[in-house]
Amino acid sequence: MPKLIDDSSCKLIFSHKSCQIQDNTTFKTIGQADLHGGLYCLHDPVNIHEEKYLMNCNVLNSKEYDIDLWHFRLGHPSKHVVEQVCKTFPYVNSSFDKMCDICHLAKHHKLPFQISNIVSLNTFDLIHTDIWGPIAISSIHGHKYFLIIVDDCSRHSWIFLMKTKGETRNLLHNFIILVKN
Amino acid sequence: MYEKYDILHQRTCVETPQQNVVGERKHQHIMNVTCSLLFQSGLSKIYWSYVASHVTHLINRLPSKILKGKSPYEMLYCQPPTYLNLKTFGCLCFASTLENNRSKLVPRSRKSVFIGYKTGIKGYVLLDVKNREIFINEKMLSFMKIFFLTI
Repeated sequence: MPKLIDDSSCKLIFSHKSCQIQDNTTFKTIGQADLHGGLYCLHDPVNIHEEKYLMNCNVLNSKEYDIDLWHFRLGHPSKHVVEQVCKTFPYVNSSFDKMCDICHLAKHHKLPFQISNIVSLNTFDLIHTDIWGPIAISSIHGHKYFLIIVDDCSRHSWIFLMKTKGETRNLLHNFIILVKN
Repeated sequence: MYEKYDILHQRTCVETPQQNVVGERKHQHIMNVTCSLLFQSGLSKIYWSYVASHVTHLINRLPSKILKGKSPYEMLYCQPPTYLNLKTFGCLCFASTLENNRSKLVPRSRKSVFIGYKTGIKGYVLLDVKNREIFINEKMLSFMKIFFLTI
């Protein structure tokens, strides 16, 4: 409010239910704000001709911003929370149903993974492999990794201990030859 | 290499282990059991490789829910596994020393702990308690309830 008075050199007259904004020099009413649930809500400016008033009023009054404003003020809560607040505090009139970029940037979740329903009919149709490690304590023979191979059909697993990841290729190669035979 | 064997190589995207759920879940299973066996046996952590190998041996022989109560071993070899030669991991064993380099006045056995099986060899992998030597022996007397290293 002090800023508004400073910028536009106007008078604010508070009464029981409303507040009038008067120009200091011309004593013209340039705006009116009615009391709604403890807050003065500015009407659409009617008598304003000068541009500087328009600029000030636009920010306060624009209905488009109003929707997100409460969402912004309350720290980007979810739609559910905003609705809850709207119910308990009637002066919060937000209908937050817009897409908010900031929310997406800040609160993006990982999407759930679908459970795979691939079923292999024969053994060695599909094998799962993964390298585990490195472990901080290498084994007595210097192994730091292990390669695990799981057959999808039988769930039989094979474990191959490795000192480096580079051994994977040879181990897989040998495993494939073993299976082929 | 994959083309040579007519294999379709599917890879996961970066930082999405969920796509390799079977492999990752198996890791968790193996590491869980590895920890239990390691604590049960009281062995030093550097023997984790033996524990992990033994755990894989066990998991392959245990019934699984996803296979409707069958074990992976049974699915692969079409015959049920046998549990008769299972030993508790890290149990106290007395392995008989080889007869040809034994004289009358040397110990007839070595005090050791059981740390696994060796594929291809009918024998057990044992760890000598005294000099920490790892050796393979077939004939041994095991005390499956005694975990020597935890005492």
